[in-house]
Amino acid sequence: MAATLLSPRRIRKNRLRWRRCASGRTVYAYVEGNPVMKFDPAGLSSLCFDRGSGIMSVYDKDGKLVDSYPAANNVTRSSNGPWPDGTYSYSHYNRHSESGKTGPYGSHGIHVFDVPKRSGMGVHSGRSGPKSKTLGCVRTDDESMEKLNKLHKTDPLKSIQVGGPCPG
Amino acid sequence: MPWMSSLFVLLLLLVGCSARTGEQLGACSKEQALIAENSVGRITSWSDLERFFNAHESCDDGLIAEGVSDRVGHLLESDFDGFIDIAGSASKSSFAQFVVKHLDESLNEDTLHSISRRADSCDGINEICKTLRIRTQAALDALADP
Repeated sequence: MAATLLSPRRIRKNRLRWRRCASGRTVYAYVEGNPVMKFDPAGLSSLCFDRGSGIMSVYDKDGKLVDSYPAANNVTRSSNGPWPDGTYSYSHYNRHSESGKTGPYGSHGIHVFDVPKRSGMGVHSGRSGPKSKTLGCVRTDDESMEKLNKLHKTDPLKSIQVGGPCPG
Repeated sequence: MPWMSSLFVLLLLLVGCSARTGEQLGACSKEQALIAENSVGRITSWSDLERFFNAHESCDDGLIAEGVSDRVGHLLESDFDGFIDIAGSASKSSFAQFVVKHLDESLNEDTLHSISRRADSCDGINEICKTLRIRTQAALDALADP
């Protein structure tokens, strides 16, 4: 009887949701799988990288500063240039477990963003830290990436602003 | 006029070929970038890298390019002679240029010193060794002067 009250669109949506559950990914990751006892206080978060100060800040959905990390966008001479200034939407996270602490991406993976006319623009750690050159990505340190990943699990990143200045 | 129809077919083929080339070397789509990103970590030999170059050259940017440079560094350390053979083949000159371009200052200093020593040992015998030595030195200079 209840099924007759659902629109075909709603049924499709529910089916997709159950498929995600069946594949092992919980739809309630933002509350560690417990939507009854826990809640998402900040909602989606965003990053802002200030080129001038070499600081990358993370904000909650209301624009409140949550944390700041050392970061840089020093690129090699043969690269396609630094990350262009602007605001970009979040694309995906890739663990890249093949990279160790001093590997190209560090030990905590990469958060990738959609940047028009560029490919693989992301935030990661690795090598000797933020000052080590990249081929376009913003580099921070391993400790900061670990903190950022913890935050991303509860308040998923939605965008990055590159260039600055960032709100204090 | 049968020659006119032949000319027309030939023109169609030429346009088709140039469009295909443009498409292959054009911008990297989001889907292509994701495939390239997931492939780069699996490169363990020069033939893997050459396959990657043929399939994903248009996505050579950002973290994908950083992964390629890392693989180039490891391969030059572990199989330097393999690259000397590749560089000696005229049909692989564009791939050899791609490899040399990725010998850059995103690599660890130790890796660059190791490659520099290998290149020094054959400089004067092989032209590509001279190119690798110069390129490695430039990367080391860039590391020293951020």
